[in-house]
Formats: sequence, C-alpha cells, structure tokens
Amino acid sequence: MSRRRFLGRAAAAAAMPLVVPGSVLGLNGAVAPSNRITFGAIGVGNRARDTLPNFLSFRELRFLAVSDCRQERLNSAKALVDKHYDNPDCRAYRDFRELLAEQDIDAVSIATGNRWHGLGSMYAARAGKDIYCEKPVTLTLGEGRALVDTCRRLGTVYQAGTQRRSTGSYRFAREMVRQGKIGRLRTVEMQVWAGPGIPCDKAVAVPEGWDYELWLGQVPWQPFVPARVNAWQYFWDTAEGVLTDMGCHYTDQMQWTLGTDDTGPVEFEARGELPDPARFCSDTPITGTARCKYASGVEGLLYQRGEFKDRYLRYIGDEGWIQVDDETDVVTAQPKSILAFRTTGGSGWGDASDHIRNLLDSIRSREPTLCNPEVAHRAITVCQAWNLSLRLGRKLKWDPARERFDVAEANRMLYREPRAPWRA
Amino acid sequence: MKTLLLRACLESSDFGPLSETFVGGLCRGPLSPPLSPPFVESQPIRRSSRQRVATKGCDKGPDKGPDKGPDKAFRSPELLGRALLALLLIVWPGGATWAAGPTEGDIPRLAKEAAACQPGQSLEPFRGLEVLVRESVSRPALRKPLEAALVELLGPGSSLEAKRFACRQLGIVGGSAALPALASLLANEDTVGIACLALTTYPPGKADEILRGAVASASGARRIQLITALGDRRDAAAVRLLARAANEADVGVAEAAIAALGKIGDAAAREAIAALRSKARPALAPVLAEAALRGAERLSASGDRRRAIAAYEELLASSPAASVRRGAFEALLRLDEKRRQGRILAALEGMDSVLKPVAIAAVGTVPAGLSSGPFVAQLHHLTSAEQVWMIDSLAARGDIEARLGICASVSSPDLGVRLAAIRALSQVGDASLVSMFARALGSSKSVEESRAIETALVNLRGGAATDKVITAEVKHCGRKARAGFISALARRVGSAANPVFFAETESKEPTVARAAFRALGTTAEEADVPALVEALVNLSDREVRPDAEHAALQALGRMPSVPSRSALVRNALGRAHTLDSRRSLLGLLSIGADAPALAAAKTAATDSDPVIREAAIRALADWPDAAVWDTLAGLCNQPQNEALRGVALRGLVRLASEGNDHPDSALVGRYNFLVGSARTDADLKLILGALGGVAHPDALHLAASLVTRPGVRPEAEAAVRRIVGALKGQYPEAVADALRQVRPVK
Repeated sequence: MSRRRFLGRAAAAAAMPLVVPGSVLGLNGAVAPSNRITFGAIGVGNRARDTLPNFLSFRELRFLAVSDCRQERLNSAKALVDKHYDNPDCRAYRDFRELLAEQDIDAVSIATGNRWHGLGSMYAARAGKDIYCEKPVTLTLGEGRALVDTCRRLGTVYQAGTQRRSTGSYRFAREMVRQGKIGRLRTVEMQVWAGPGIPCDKAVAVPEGWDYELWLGQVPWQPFVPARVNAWQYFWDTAEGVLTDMGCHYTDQMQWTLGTDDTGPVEFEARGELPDPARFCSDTPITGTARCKYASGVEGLLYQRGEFKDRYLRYIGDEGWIQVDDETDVVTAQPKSILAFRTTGGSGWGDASDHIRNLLDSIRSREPTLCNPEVAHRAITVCQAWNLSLRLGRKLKWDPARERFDVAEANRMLYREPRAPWRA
Repeated sequence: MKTLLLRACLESSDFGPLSETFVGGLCRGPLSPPLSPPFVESQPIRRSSRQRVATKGCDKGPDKGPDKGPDKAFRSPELLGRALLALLLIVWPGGATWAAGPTEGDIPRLAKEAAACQPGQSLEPFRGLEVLVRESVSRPALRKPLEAALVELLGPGSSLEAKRFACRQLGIVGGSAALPALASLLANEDTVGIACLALTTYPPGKADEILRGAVASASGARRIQLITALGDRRDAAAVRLLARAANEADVGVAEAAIAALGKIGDAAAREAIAALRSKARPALAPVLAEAALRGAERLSASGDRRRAIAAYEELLASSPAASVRRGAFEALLRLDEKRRQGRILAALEGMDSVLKPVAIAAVGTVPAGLSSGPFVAQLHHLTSAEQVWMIDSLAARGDIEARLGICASVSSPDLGVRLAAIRALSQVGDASLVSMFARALGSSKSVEESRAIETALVNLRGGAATDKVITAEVKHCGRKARAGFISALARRVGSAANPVFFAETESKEPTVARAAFRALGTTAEEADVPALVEALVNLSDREVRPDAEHAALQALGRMPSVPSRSALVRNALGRAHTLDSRRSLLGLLSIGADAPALAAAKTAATDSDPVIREAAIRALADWPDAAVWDTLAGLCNQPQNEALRGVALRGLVRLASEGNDHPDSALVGRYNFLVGSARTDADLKLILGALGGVAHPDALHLAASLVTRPGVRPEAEAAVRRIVGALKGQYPEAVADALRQVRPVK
C-alpha cells in the first residue's frame, strides 16, 4: 500500500481454506517416475489443442501416447507432445483401443466429438484407466446412467471437463448465493449463443487419412458429407447443438449451487427455432428458450440467443442478483457490496489447471472428483431433457429418482442403441 | 418467390405466435408450440442485436469447436410488417392453410418426397413428418397414418437416409404395425443397426422375439448388433441363446454375448457367466469379470446381500485386474456395513496397494459409533501421502480418538502431514487445542506452517469462549508463537482485542511488537488513533518502526475528517523528541493533507537537521494534491542534494500525471517546466512516461521535440505514439508532423 494514498477498506479478512500444495507432497521439481501418473490422449483435435498444454504443464503426469482417427491430427499431437518432452517417444494410435490396451498408461484424457465421450469413457474404464473427459459427457440420458454405473462398478476416477467448478469467479458467485447474500434464490438465468444453420451439402469420398468408421463410432452409418462431419455439433446423431454443448456448463453450476448433484429438476419445457430445412441440413435449434423447475420451486431459465460473447450465468434472489459474464470472467452483483467479499485469485475458466489438479489428487487418493460421473450426468440431464421437450413439443415431468418422464415417447428416447460393434 | 416473400414478412420476432405458426409450416421449419404459462420470458439482462432468424447458412469451419462460437452470425432480411402478411394471405388464399403446418393430408406427399432424401440435402419432407410425429404424441389419431407412412419408408424404394429417418421416428412412436417391416431390416447388414435403433425402444414382448429370431441367421457385425440389443433390452428369454454365443470362436461375438448376459444378470445368466469363467479364455477375462460384477450388482439390488457379498469377495480374491478388485472392494464396503471397519483395516495392513487408498477414503464412512482408534493406529504404517488422506478421513469422523490421532500428526516429521493435520483440526477443533497450537507455532520452521496454524486458530470453534482462551494464551506463549497468536486474534476478534495489542506494542521482542502494530493497523478504531500515534512517538525499536508507521497510516486513513488527522499528527510532531519519531510523523502528514499540514511540512523542509529535511521533502513528494507544486518545483531547481532533487522531481511528475485525464494548456505548461528542469536522460524518461498520457496537441509537440535526443529517443517516440492514439484522429496536422519525426514501427 502506498504511503501517500490510503483507501479505507472494509475489514473482510475471511479465513481461506488451507490446501496442501502438491509441492509439499514432494511433487515439485524432479518427479520420480514411480510418482508420475501416465496419460494417453484420445481425440486430439481442436479442444485437445486447448487443454493439452494445461495437462503438459504438470510435471507429475506424463503423456505417453495419443490417439485420433484422423492422421493429420494424430501427427500434430504427437509432434506437440514430443516437443514438450524433447524426445520422439510419444506413441501414436489411430485406434484408441490400442492405446487403452497399453498397460503403462494409467489414465486418459478424452477430447473427441460428443458421440465418443460416453462410450469412449466406458471403454477406458473397462480397460482400467482413470478418465478426464470433455463435456457434454454423453449423448443420451441412458448413456449417462450407463457411464455412472460403469465407473462405479470398476472404481474409476473420472473428471468431467466442466472446469468452471474450479474457476474463481464461479466459485465466488456460488458461495455468495449459498451464504444468502441475494436472499432466497428464485431463478438461475443462463444464456448461450444463437447456433448456426449448416447449409446443405453433398456426399464425397472419405478423405485420405481418415478412419471414418471409427470416427462415426456408435452413430448409424452415413456417407461422408463434409458439412455433417465438420459441423457434427449441430446434428442430433452426433451431438445436441449449442444448448447442450455450452448449456451444460451452466446447468452444472446451477446443480452445484442448489446442492442437487444427485438429483435434478422435476419439470422441463423448451422451445426453439430450427434451421430452414429447405436450405440447411442441420437439426439443432438456432435460438430457443428453455425452462426447468425444481421441487423446491427454483427455476432455471436458459436462453439461446445473441452472440458468443453474450453468454452469462445469473442467480436471481429475493434481495438481489449476482452474475458471471463468461466472456470476461467479470462478476457483477446487486447490491454491489456483495463484491467486496471476493478475495483475489483463482484461475479463469480458460485455464483447466485447477480442474486437472483435482483429478490428479483424486487418482491418488481415490476420492471422488469435483465433477464425478454422477454430478456430470445430472448436469447434462437438464440439457438433454430440454432437447427432448423441444423435439416432442411438450412439457415433460421428470422423476429424478427413477429417471423417467411422464410421457411414454420421451422415455423411448432415453437411450439410443449404438451401432455394432460398439456397446455401452 | 413465395418462400422469399413470406419469409420477408414473417421472420421477425415482433410477430409473436402468429408468425411462429406460419413460419413453422413454411420457412423456418417446425417450431415447438409456445411455452405454457406461467412461463414468461423475462427481460433479458443484455440484448445484443435484435433476435434474428437464420436464413443464411453459417459457414462453420471444420476446426471450430462449439465453445469457440459461430464464425459468422446470420441475419434475416428486415421485416415488412403485418400488413404485408395480411396482403399475402389475401393474395394467396391457400397460403394460410399451407403455412399453418403439415396436416394428415400431407402425409403421403411428404412420405413420397422423404423416400428420395439423401444425406446433407434438403430436409423439408423430414421436418414435415417430424412435426406430425410431434403432434401425434398428443393426438393419437394421427399415429396410424403416420406409422403407415414411416413403414412405407422402410421399403425397398426408399433411400438409406429415409430408412434411417423412419427408424428414428418409429423409435419414438412406432407400434406393432411397424414390427414386420423393422424385422425385415434385420437381415441386412446396412440396416440392422437402424432397425435396432427402433426395436430397442419397444416394450418387452414381440420386439424381443423378433430380435432373438434374427440372431440365428446372423453372423459377424450383424450378429453382434442383435446380441447387444438383446442385452440392452435385458431379455431374460435370450439367456440360453447368449450362453451358446458366448462360446463361439469369434471373440467379438463372444464378448458381446457375455456383456449381454451381464446386463441381464438373472440367475440363469449368472450361472452361464460362472460356467464361462471356469473355462478361462484369457481374451474374455475382462468382459467376464465385468459381467460377474454386474451379476453381483443385480443380487445386491434384489436384496440378496449374502450372495452379493460372496460374489464380490470371490472377484476380489481372484481377479488380476486392478479395476475389478477396486470395484469389488468398494462394493463390499458399501454393502457390508457391519464388516466395513474390518475390511478397511485388512486392506490397510495388506499388500494390495490398489486397495489402500480406497480403504483410507472409506474411513470416513465407517459408522459413527465405532471408535477411530484402530485407524489412528495405522497412521504410522502409512506413507506420508497416505497419512494426509487418512487425516482427512479421520477429520470427517471427528470423534475423540480421531482428533487425538490428528493432534499427534501435528508434530510429524513430514511437513505435508503436519499441514494436513493443522487443516483438519481447524475444521473440527475448539479451545482445547489452543495450547497445542501454541507449542506447534513455537516450533514451526516454515512460514507456510505458521500461517496454517494461524488460520486454524482463526477457524477454531467455540466462539467467545475460544477467543478468551486465545487471548489468555497470548500472555503465556513463547515469543515465537505470540506474533502468530496476535495475528489470529486480530482476525478472529478484531477491535475488541485492541487493549491486548496495545500492551504488546511495548514488547521488547520485535516480532511481537510488529505483530501488535500490524494488528492495530486493521483493528484500531477512531478513538484508538491518538494512542496508536502516541505509541509510534514513544517507540524506540527501529526494527519495529516501519510496521508502526504503517499501522498509524492505516488507522489515520480510516478517520473521516482530514483536519482531525492533520491536527493529531501535527500535535504529536510538536511533542516528539527523537529524530526517528519526528521523521515517522512527517511521513504521516500527507494523510491529513490540509493547509496547516502543508505548512508544517514546508517548515520541516528547512529544518537544520538533514534527516528531518529529507523526511519533510519525501512527505511533500507524496502530497496528494497540487498545492505542493510550487514548493516541490523550488526544491527541484535548488536542491540540497541530487537524491532529494530526484525525490522532488518524482513527486512533481506524479502530480502532473494525475492531471492527465483533463489535459489543458496549464498541464502542458507543467510538463514544459518538468522538461526544463530535467538534468539527465533518466529524468526525461520519467517525464516522458507520464507525458505520453496527455491527449493534447501541445503535449504531442513537446514529446516530438525530444525525439532528436538520442538518449531518450525510444521513450519520446513511444510517448508520441501514445498521444497520437489518444487523440483519436483529432489535430491531423500536428499528428502528421509528429509522426514524421518518428521511426516506423517494425
């Protein structure tokens, strides 16, 4: 503090919880090989390019292998890992099953397309690997429950990539809500951006270097249509659009804040504007509005609209609100005095390091992670239920204990039989 | 044309439900009906552009993941108004019907068009049928003709894309009428998967028969598909068939069959799995183990605990796979509460390293009535990392033995273990731990550990009673611990402990006195400030003085009245006898920067003692407003020594820079003075750093004039560029002139 300038401050020296740093456990500096956790990467496309550097920054883990069904991605991922370790030792596999068969790999990070998140995780669990998997963690509600059961059955440590649970701004907002600073919570409002329509396209030959069968995985076979393959996020076969892709980050926060990680809302309703079918071949909504209601009366509201930078999460209570702007990581609140309680520090959501640290600690201690399978499944259940409501055009009531809807047709959509030879 | 015109007038969020209905049938594809009341879309917190509808494609590149957002937004044409809509309806009398969405009458046409659909092409027929599927959920009368149309799409005249679509829809609304057509698709490798997509959603009964019947003639991938579907449907009638398939030479088929048996998990399935395990085909060992685990789960879920436990125990004992042993062990711990403690202890004492962390993690789940003593006894057998985990688990139990065990760990030779113990005790401890923490603080060798203990003291339970014990301990604990206790007390109790802190400011031990002053810096109230200033005046220990000054600064800053601050400091200055005290007080004058304080500082700046003069000049350099400008300017031009000239100059530069937000000729005049007063390149660099923030053409001219000085050229050029940027296109001639003198940026 400057001697000449002094600002009066509220005394808000809240005690910070003590965390035993990894360095104290002898994990800093040179790490003995026996103390290292070895990793393989399954799916090394765009998202992996963001997160691999976070992983590689941990000295106590080591990537031994990478896997991708696209050769050029495989080559560049291997190059990245080799460069980091300054040797050519990183193994590369087109088929992830070969990577899973390697006995010297303890854990995997999965950053494939959504169609492979759930199934790939189950295959990894069966191979005895612990898992970090990108969100959305599954394609269907049934696949989600199968994932939870498989990990539990095999004692797998699993962390979903909803890393905002490890992000300072979101943790602060949650804490303020739980401390009652905005009064009784009434509504959790969320916004994701308007999605695209994908123009119609024609089938072409599978490009050189693609294992397209493997790429498809559980999805029914279809010809290689570049628009469908490159924009897989916007087709029901392979994903569920922006509402789920991004919405699950916010529904995860909502679930966490409400303390409903092992249950969920009891009512869902959604509407959306779909792409013009005359010109676009994609399925998922462009804009939309979704609502859910918990047994406690709290409502969740998700808007799909606006631009990428406009996304946010806002908790609205009887006595105020608190909002996290996802683009800037800025927290605003009413009353503003709430913000004085925030202590500095904490990484932004773009840095997954704290989240990875939580996984590594859990791999050793076998304690559940922050975003374990049950938590992740329940969070994405909200989005998946919204999509079912939208596709069936009606409000749905949900029994979170039995995991069943009140509408028979919705229950028929709980699970999608995978294409052989894949199984959940 | 029709599409374009109607789209132009319909695609606007201003039209509300009417437009949605039209658009739903025509331009934008199906819309869900409006949300039911009381759902009301709240006022959005932020509106970007007005909500628009997609009419153009978004050309999303291949390498953009969903989190990156769309490459381009799409925009609709502007709306034409309800009048145009009405006009069009008049012009196209059939438009209203057609635009209202497909009806039952449209089914044959849609089905015919859908039959020819190819992947990636227009989806209009599919969307139309989907709308009807959606409607049929609440209008069962629609189901029959719809189903018939979808069944027709399964026929040989339809594309594979059409069949796939039909199967997907039949998986939602298909009934018994569709079964024969679906069954026929099972015979073909290209369609068996999509047929299973539909069949696996059917209720138990006929669909199972069909699937079972198809297995007999299937081989390879088709066989695997059917077998997997039987397992997913939990078809108990398929067990014998699956048991036979599990013995086949084709490993893929055998694996699928075993997995299916595991999912079915009834007595017959379990028997089959047990028989297969006894044959020990190595390639199938993993899937057999998982199937056996599923069987055990099924036993547990049905209430047959005894047999479930036996099954898990057998798997634990026999499986080489770590994941299976871990899974079985975790299940046993969950299932067998009575023997949970025994199992945990056995694992802790055993040789299976896979189980130890699981056992430690489970310690917290052992019923509360059981003592933690046996777990505590295991601590010294564990590695340091394991001890940390065990401490966390013991803290979760919180009984007296657990606490005693954790307390003993506070003196562990391993820092990590000590920190874990301290953290755990901060969550479960109370006043009874205060003496122990005092001892630990006294013997602590690391800052991290000391801070951890301090935080633990702050978090101890017990409220006022614990506060009292901590306060008493301050007097009794050793000097090393006392500073930490003072700090903890300040955080815990605040100003109520000020008498204790004041007493400790007189401690002969510098660390204690410093801690006391730091505490007062945050806790001293207005009424305490005179005593705090007095304590500063009377302070003799130079090592403590910086903390005392800082504390006084903090406390004075909290006084709302500037004249009161000034008077307090000046009065103390009048009483101060020692050089150190006077110097300290001079440093506080700027916090009460009124005219009398400024006068006192100016007087001190001419004191006979050089120490006092220097302190006064530093105080003037820190002055918060420009009332001190002339005095500092004088000191800059006629300095007593070079060091003090530099102090004065820095003060002047700071004062000038604080006016940068309101640039005018007077401010630039000050900068001109500063440049004129500069004696060295270092001076000019300091001035240029501030000058660069002045968005004024005269400042630009001044900065540009210094570009020719070699020693400061980079700084001058940087200042020029900053000012040009801040001017935002104003004064083009002055800007051009200045930029001509600046080297281009590479």
